[in-house]
Amino acid sequence: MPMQETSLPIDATALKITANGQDYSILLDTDTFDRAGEDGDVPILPLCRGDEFVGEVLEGQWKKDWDANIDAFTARILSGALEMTGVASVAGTWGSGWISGQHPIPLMDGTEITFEMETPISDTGAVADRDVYYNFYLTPKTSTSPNGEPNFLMLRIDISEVGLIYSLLDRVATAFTTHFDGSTYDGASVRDPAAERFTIWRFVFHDGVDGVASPSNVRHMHVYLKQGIDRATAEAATENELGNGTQDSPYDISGWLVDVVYPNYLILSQNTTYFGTAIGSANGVDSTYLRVNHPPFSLKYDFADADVGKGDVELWDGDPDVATSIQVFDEDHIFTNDPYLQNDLLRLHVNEGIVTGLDLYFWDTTGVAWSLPFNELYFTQAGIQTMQFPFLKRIISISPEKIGIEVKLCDDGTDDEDYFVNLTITLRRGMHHITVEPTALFPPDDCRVWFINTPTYRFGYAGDDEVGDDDLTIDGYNTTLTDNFLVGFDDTLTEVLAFMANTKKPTSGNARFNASDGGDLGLEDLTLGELLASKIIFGLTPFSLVANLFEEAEDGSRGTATLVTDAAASPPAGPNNAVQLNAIGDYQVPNGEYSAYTFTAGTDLPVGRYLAVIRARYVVQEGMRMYVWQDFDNEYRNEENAKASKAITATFDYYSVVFDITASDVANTRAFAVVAEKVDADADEIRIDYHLIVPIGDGESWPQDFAHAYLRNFNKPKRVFTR
Amino acid sequence: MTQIGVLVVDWPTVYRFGDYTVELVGAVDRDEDLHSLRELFAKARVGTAVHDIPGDRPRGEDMDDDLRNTQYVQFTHGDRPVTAWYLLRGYAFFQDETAVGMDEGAYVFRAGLFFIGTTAFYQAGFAVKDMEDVEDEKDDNSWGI
Repeated sequence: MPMQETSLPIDATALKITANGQDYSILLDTDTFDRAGEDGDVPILPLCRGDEFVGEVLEGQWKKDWDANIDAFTARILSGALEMTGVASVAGTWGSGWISGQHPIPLMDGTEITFEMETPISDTGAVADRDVYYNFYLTPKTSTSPNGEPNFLMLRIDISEVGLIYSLLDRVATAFTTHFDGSTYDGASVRDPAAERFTIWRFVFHDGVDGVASPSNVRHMHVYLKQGIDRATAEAATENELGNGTQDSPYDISGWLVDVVYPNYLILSQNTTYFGTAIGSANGVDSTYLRVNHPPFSLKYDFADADVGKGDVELWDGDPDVATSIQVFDEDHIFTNDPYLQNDLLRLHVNEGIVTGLDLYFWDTTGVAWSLPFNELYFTQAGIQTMQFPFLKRIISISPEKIGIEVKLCDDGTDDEDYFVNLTITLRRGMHHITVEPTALFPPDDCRVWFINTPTYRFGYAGDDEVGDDDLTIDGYNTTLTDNFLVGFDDTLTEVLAFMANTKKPTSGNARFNASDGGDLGLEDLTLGELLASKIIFGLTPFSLVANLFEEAEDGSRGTATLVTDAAASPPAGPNNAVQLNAIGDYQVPNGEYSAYTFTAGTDLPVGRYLAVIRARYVVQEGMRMYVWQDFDNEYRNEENAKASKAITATFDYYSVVFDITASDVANTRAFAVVAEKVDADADEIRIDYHLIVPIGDGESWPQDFAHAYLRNFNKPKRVFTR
Repeated sequence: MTQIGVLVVDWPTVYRFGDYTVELVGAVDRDEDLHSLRELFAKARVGTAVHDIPGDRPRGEDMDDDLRNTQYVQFTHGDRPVTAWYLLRGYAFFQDETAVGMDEGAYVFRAGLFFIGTTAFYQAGFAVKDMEDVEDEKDDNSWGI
């Protein structure tokens, strides 16, 4: 769920949102999170703007959990929809699973929340007490079951052997009020076994207006519904406001105790068929989008005198750490030294006329210092001419919130017109990335964009199971482009994740993401039109436990499996550089042969959503199954909630599953294992080279979070408000 | 010490108060700091206005989108104006000259400020707007994310 992130000055306090004369308190560290910078922690307000459920991995701020009475609970995105599955462990006994969003929605006057929901059935069959629910909630911030919250608004899709009914309820201090129930927008509290199952709901929140008829004279919400027999029909349907003569929208919500809420999806089942016994089941429930639109509002804060300027975006004539350098405040400034652009988290040095002279530094929270410059970005034209000598052309804008500069990258140390690309580079408060917008390329041609690192990061992830490995001289080419970002890191080097993302999905035939030789990240063969339409972000985000993102299989647990030397495995020199599985085994028992990378949540890896990647091949044709296991609760943590079968090939390739580490796992330092096993009990062999873990999103400051949040635009000019 | 936004300047030697205005004369140690101050005030003259309101106090206006000409000014020594929000109005300096009676190497400037109000009555923030429909943003977001 891409957040709309607003960065605040360091040590800002008493945050509040004001809309239509009403104040909404924003709680620090509940409704906000921090990014550590040079002058202190930068508060980030990550407003919820919804989720189109598009991309490779369900976003990290959707926290997933389930109770002991549901089997096979899964939640993932697939083909542009959120898919949830799960069935009751015991028929007739309720079991539930849910995902809870961690980005807040202040319910301001004019806030609109629109979401689509669809169920596979409208009745559960002939047997009673085999009911199923698919619910959407607005609750206070939670990662435990939203159904247990004492205060919430719930839209419930309730399906029994009699039929389907939609219910809108709220719970205030544990007391329920049913605002509406029916199987259509005007249905009279009656179930329908043939109800249309594809629905689009729109909630609109309003403050009260004195003197008008109740409930519009108090705080209220309007609810609208579109309904159809499939997605397209529902989208095209007429939108109607709920009303059956006795339960008519708008609804009085003046008694609500919570005005900053969080979205949740939950399934409840007494049924052993619904909502599906495995990921990808046709019996699962879907949602194609959640959309949140906010009215204009004011965001206000206080600060101490000593904190003035902390966290501001700054432009310097010369190195900011050198006493003789001066801070630049005017667009007409004439530089005598190199320009430096920084925001407490990230620093860009425009090393004019020097090869690969766009140097990025990050604020290293481990070393508590600015890092060494080790990331450069540059452009090449169709693999022919490299433009990597920067020259500052002008300052576009300066403010403490954002600074924009125009930089020209030339092919040599002379600022001339034979080969160049003009870039608008912007740095914003509180961001771990710069934004680069190409504005001109000469001569016009296809182009490649590179974000390279010296010394070279070993690993790069280009998406869609494409991995680059510098030690093995492997490039990860991704032409599928399910998602918009690449990640680079090295388990033996600086504790940082490098990332690059693009707003425009290239569609030309040769375009691809490339994790070249590992962590050299590239956008390749963009056409001129695609390049000039792109806004590319380049970033560095600290990740202190980077050393635990990789393990050679021969260094992990393997049961009774043997070690072999494989010329194509890592390290290339061998010996005994791969685990060979000749027989079926089970890590969970444990017995037999397997390859497992074990780690401890919290100690070794933090809360978040990851890709577990295994590099494997068969010697004799065979399949592999892989999963992520949490030992204490005896639970699968990978999305499939089961052992996932992978059709491997005769040459080494990469295979992945998505898995979660939860806050509870970290608090209790639970033991985890990324496991590979043979599928069949025959003697055919497979070889496991290594285990790699790619951090994807934690809802705050990982590559996916930045790559997706950047796609949400808004304006926030600074103001001084009267109290 | 006087701090205009993020810039710290030496103690002013003279204050002249007007109708919600302060003119101060001060000095900095380096020529570069003089020019940093000049840059801070670069858009003040054309980017601000003060309107006389009959029967009311005058109102200052900062015409910059990000209120660059509105700064939080802190005065921390005796016999001083109030620490508060001020509108930057004007700035002057004499290149390569020091004032009579001042130490050589002190670079003198004169700055004009208009008093807006203290933090007891005003607070900083952002006017958030243009949070457009996500669906419409797909024109700029061809991934559909």
